[in-house]
Order: sequence, then C-alpha cells, then structure tokens
Amino acid sequence: MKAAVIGYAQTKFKEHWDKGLRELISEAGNNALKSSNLKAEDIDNLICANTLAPLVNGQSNVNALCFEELGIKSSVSINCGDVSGSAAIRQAMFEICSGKSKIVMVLGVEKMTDLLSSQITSAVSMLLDHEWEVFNGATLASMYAMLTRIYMKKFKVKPEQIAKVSVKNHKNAVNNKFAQFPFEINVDSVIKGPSVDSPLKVLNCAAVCDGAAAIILCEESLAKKYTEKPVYLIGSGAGSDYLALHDREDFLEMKATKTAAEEAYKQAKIKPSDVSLAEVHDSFSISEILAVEDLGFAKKGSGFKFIEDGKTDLTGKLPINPSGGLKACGHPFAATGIRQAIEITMQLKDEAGKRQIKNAKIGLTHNLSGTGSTAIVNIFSR
Amino acid sequence: MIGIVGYGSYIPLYRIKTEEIARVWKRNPDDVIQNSMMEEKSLPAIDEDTATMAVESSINALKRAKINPKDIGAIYCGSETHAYAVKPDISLIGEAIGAAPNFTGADLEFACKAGTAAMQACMGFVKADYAKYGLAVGSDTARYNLENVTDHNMGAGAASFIIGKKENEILAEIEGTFSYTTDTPDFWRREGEKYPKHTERFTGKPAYFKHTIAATQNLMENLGLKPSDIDHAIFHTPNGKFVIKAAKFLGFKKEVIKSGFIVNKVGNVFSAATLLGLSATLDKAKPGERILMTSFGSGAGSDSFSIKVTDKIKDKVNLAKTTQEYLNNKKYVDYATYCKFTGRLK
Amino acid sequence: MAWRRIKQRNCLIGSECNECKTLFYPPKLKCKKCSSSNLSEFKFSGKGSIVSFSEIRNPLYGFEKQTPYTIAIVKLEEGPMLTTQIVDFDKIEIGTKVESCLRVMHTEGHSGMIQYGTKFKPAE
Repeated sequence: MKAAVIGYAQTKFKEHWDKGLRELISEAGNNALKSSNLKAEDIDNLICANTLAPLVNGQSNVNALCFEELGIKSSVSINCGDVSGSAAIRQAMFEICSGKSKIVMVLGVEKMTDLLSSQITSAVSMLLDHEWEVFNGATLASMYAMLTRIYMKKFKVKPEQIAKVSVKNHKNAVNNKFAQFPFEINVDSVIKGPSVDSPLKVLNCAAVCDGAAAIILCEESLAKKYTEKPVYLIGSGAGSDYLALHDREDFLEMKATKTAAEEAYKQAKIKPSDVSLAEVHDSFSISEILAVEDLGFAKKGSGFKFIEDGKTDLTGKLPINPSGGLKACGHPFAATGIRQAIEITMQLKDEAGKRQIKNAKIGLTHNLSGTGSTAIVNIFSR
Repeated sequence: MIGIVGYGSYIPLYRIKTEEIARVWKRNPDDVIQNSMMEEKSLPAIDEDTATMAVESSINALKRAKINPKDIGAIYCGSETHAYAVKPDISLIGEAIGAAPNFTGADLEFACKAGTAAMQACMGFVKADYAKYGLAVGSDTARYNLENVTDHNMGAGAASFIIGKKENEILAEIEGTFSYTTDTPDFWRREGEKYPKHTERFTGKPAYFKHTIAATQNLMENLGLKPSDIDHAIFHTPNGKFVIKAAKFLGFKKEVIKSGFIVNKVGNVFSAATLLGLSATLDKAKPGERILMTSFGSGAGSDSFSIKVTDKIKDKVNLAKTTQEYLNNKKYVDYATYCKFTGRLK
Repeated sequence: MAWRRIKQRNCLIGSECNECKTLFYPPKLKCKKCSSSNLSEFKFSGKGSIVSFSEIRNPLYGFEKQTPYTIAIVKLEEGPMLTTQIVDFDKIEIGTKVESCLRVMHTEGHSGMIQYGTKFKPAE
C-alpha cells in the first residue's frame, strides 16, 4: 500500500508581523482542505510539526491550536528539530499504510521572528548538543561554518564556488510567490556581503522566518476521488547520527543522510540516477553540497563542482531546489519539510508554472535536523 | 620543619601601558611613572576572573610540588575580588586541580594581605597534622574607579603555594612568621560597592609603613636576624615607590628587592602582589639564601615571613612556567579593549 | 543544570572503555566502538590541535559581551574531539597546537551563576 498526496497549501514564508501561530495554521490548513475539496470531518487525523513554539511562543501542544482553527477531530504534535515536517509526512505514511487512517493532514508551522537576534540564535542552536556544544558557546551557524572551512580546505574550494549554491537557489525562487526572497543575487553579492560566523557570509545562510505548510495524504485507492493527478509517496527513509558534530566519524559525510537515502531508495525501488528533481536541505550552502554527494548524485568532494557546472540548475540534468530551497524560500523549521513536499508535488503534477521541470517523474525531498543528527528522505512519483 | 613544596604564578596575557591610560585622561605619562613607577599593568581577558587565575597558578604549583592533589587537605584563597560575594572560589579550585572532595578551606579577605593570611592558615593546618599539604592562593583582578589615577596601578594575577612539612620535599623553609594588626581604616570597599576607596596620603605612614615595618622588625628580632642576613626582600607593592622606601628604612641593601620587584610591569595585584613577588624571587633564588616577605593589607595589618631556600629549589624552578616567562608573554591592548575586558562597558 | 558536568568540563574527565580501551571525550555511557557499558573515568592531558574553527559574530543569548569569540573543534592528543573556544591568540589555523585552560563560559546576568568551562589557547 502507498500513500498519495491529494491536497496542499502553504502561506508565504516571510516575517508575518501581523500573524501568530493561529493565523498561520488557519491559512495553510484551510487552504489545503479547499485544494482537495475536503472538509475537516473527512480527515481522520492531523499530525502537526513544530519545533520552536514552546520556546519562542511559550506554546506547547500546538496540535490543539490546529483543532481550534481547522476542526479536525484528532491530532498529535511531532518535534525532532527542523526535520519535523518530513518526519510528520513519514508518520502519516505509516498511519495510512497500516490501515489505521484513511486520510491524514500533515501541517508544519513555525513562528520564529518574535525574538531578538541573540535569542533566536540560542533558540535555533537548541538543535545542537546543548551540554557539549552550546554550553561552550557554539551556535548552529558556527557549526556549519566549521564544516564549510573543513570542506573548503580538503577539496580546495573557493568561496566563489560555494556562493553558486545561493545564486542558483535565489534564481529559482524568482518565480515562487511563496518564497521569502524571490530575487536574484550574484556571486559578488555573496562574497562581498556582510560576514557572519567566519568563513560564512550572510548569503550563505537561510534566514529565520514565519510560515506554515500543509499537505493531505490518503491511501492510494482513494486518491483519484480527490484529485486527477495524485502524487505517490513511494519511499521514505530516516537516519540518525550523533547529536554533536565532534562525535561523528566523518565530518564531510552525513551518515544520517546516507542511511535515510539508502532506505528510501530501497523502498521506492529506484537508484539515485532515476531521480528527476530534488528539494534538499540547504540551510547553509555547505549542507546542499554535502546532500548532493551523500544522496548519491555526485561523488564525495565533487558536489560543489556538480552545482557550479549547472547540472542542478532548473534546466540541468538534475534540478535541485527548484523552489529556491531553504535559502531563498526561508526556513521556518518544521514547515520546511512539508514545503519541500509541496514543491515536489507541484512539479510532478505539472503545476509549477514558470519553474516547471519537463518530464518530472520522480522527486525527492531531503531534510535535516541540526547539523545532520537526523535526516529524512521522502521520494514521490507521479 | 615547615615550608614550601611547590609554588606557581599566573599573569594574564594582556597589558595596557601607562601612556595609553594617560592618553585617555589627558595626564602626562611621565608624571604617572615618576609618582608610581608604573610602566604597564596586566589585565584579565574577558573570560578570566579570580577563580580561573587561581586555578592556573595552582596547577603550576602542583607541577613543581609533584604531589598527589588528593593529599591537599586545606585550600585557602585570599582575594579582594572573589568571583562571587557568596560561593567560594576554593571549591572550584579544589575540584579543578583534583583535590576534591576531602579538603577544607575558605575564601579569605583582608585587603591586600589575604594571600599571606592563607599561607599562615595552611602552615597551621599542616603543622597541626590536620592536613598533609595546604594550598595557599592569592588571586585578584584589582580595580578602581577609572577616573582615579589609582587605576593606573590596578593589575591582575595569581600566585599559589603548597605548604608541606616533609624535609625532603621542602624547597624553601618557612623559618618563622609574625603578624601585626591594628584597626586602621586607610582603604575599604563597602558591601555592594564595585570599587574600593582610599584615604590618599593617610595610606602611607600610619598605614602601610607602620604595619610593614612593625611586623618585619618584630619577626627579625624574634629570629635574631640582621638586615645583612636578608638576601631577598618582598613587600607589598601598591605602587613601585613604597617598597623601596620600606626596604631603605629597614636598612636593607638596595638590591634585595630586585628579584621580587615586578609591580612596574603588572601593577598592584592586591592579594596576589606579595605572593607573586615571592614566586618571582624563588625562580631566581639560590640554595641557602634567605627571603624576607612582608605583606600589607589595609584595614590594617602585615604578615612577615622569613623563608630559607633549600637545595631542592634547583630541581623545581623549571617544572612550570616562571614569573618572568609570564611577564615576557604579553599582548598590549588599547583603552577601549581594556574597558571591554574588565567589564566596564555597559 | 550545568552542575553535574562540572568535573567533566573543568578537569577534562572523559571515559575509557575497559573492554577495548577506546577513549572518549565528552564522556560516554556506552562504548561507541564495542558497545560495552563497562567504562571508567579518564583524565585527558589538555593538549590537542585545531580541526576547524569559526569566529562567531552572531552570539548566543548571554554571550553578547564577549562577541566576537572563536569556537573550534579540537582533536585531543589522545584521540577524541570536542567543541570548545579558542582564546588568547593572534592567528590560528587548522592544525594549530593548543592546550587547555579554565575560563568563564558565560554568566547568567549580573546576579546569576557564573558558568566555567575548558577553553583552549595556543600551546607554548
């Protein structure tokens, strides 16, 4: 049995000064119901993905807010860092494939912009090992900065080459009305831009923002009832690794990604070369480069070249982050995995408008938590 | 027999020159140097305090003592700038150097003489067989109102001494000690206040000199010592000049204060001042030489010690970084950085 | 509660697997190599070298006053790696030899606790 995507919706990802968790949930959730002509009572269960509300908004039990706004009779929350959205989709698959539920809504929501900068830095750094990284002053960005430095030294990579990731993703976002930064940038603006944690520049990093995204999944036999072109979740894999970077065997190979990808490919019965497009976790440019390698699209140490050579452009052999990725769409933690699934769904249904990839048959989402302590890979097909 | 079995210094990396402070307050640096002899002074890094510096100097003392830290039964740390008002530095020191949990001790305060008071407390414990070894520390991040010329003198540093009584371990025997204490309010800091206050010229004759000289003379008389018996002398150094004057008054040779004279390079490090002077002197002293050390703490009192260097000193000096090495390893900062590192920026 | 890690942090106490002799810092409850739960305390020398580093300009809450500060992954002489800060340096690079020192990590405002921990500085 497979699960099929029959509806989707998202809010724009941005600083929603006038919207709180309730408004974001209401907009994404109700529009997702509308998109599949479903009513709240048609949904058996809702899985709500959220990471930071207990800290940022002082709000736990976010799934109860979903009940208030959407009226779906049962719900649970899921939190495993910024991979929560993808994890919720995976849980929905289990629920449907086990026969427990027929139709499930998965909703990811994050309201991140209500904190001052050092407070949000502390909040997002909760994804790291608190006792042995954060206690000593480490931030999420600084850990990725150290990874970037190691990668650049080992494979002799220049900042200009790393910058290509952001340049490509911004270009893709131009036609995405839900993206936080739908405009083009160039290599110069990245490397001459403001510095953050060295050697990172501001434009190497995805930004904090608010947003919600929802999809509705059902068991495959019912799918055609709700949509002409269902998209099927044909494989899902999860992988774990040590929470702290310093405990990992190899900094430049994300074991969690490899474990997740292997499982997902196996279930989907495909090879990396069968993938037509992918949405990968580019919270920092280095994470897209490592993902391209660890997902099996490029050899270790050549991911940056693969991207630099245009192979991952919209018109390339394997478009990556056609939506604009986390970099240009914004990264409201738990909403990201679901936003990635929406992009893949749109592409596989030929609904992506100006950024539509021709003959897209199989799409993959890759989502991480922290510096790669958890990875989830979901594979979808027409 | 009782004496020192290990000793160690710590001076932070950072220095500020007298000229740099004078530049900001539009003083003539030559006037300042002439008045106090201060050329430059040490300051803590932004993440250093009395406790962390005390750990560094105590680790150096342990390196020289080569004893099992678990045999240290008492730790006393003297300071005017303990990390907390309530919560001991010595618990952190004892844990960090591996002495915990079977030891006693306390944080001491007696203005600039709490470090030598710590030494006396350790001597008592060890002599009474309540502890195999005692660790005495003086550590301070001295500070004064920035606008006051006294701020030129405020330094940071720590020195640690391990007191024992096994003859074959003692690198310097403590021949005797004498203290002289009266109620003389020449310098104080009230509860909750950030900076101390002093009484300017009153801090000299009725305070510093009276107590320093009385303690020293009493000790020398008790031990039957003449000025010519003293090879090295260390007095408390609120500035460079007082110590020279005290030595002269006592009839000591001019050179005796040389080995321990570091105030012009680190400043007045309060409770660590006399002890850092002793540590610097031990780095240079030869077996058989006699060191006279007298501290002064405002409020007011002096502890005087006669210390005789043994043969053991030769094997010990190079086991840890010397005071001179700390003095040589330095990085100058500007006034803004000085303010940042010492927590003056709001 | 940072208290329970004081000894491990301030004295660099990690663990050693009594079965396969592998060393761990930070300490582990279970051997990463042979899965044995039979581990004992091991004190590390505090000498090591820099594997990577980053100067932090966007600090954590409570670290603002010491910003910028430099975070690093250090490989200890005995093998394990840890995340720490580098202090008292002019220039560092990957491979720079460093040694441990005890420093203030951060203070919880004016009236809160002072949190200490091990940082590293260039080795002499």
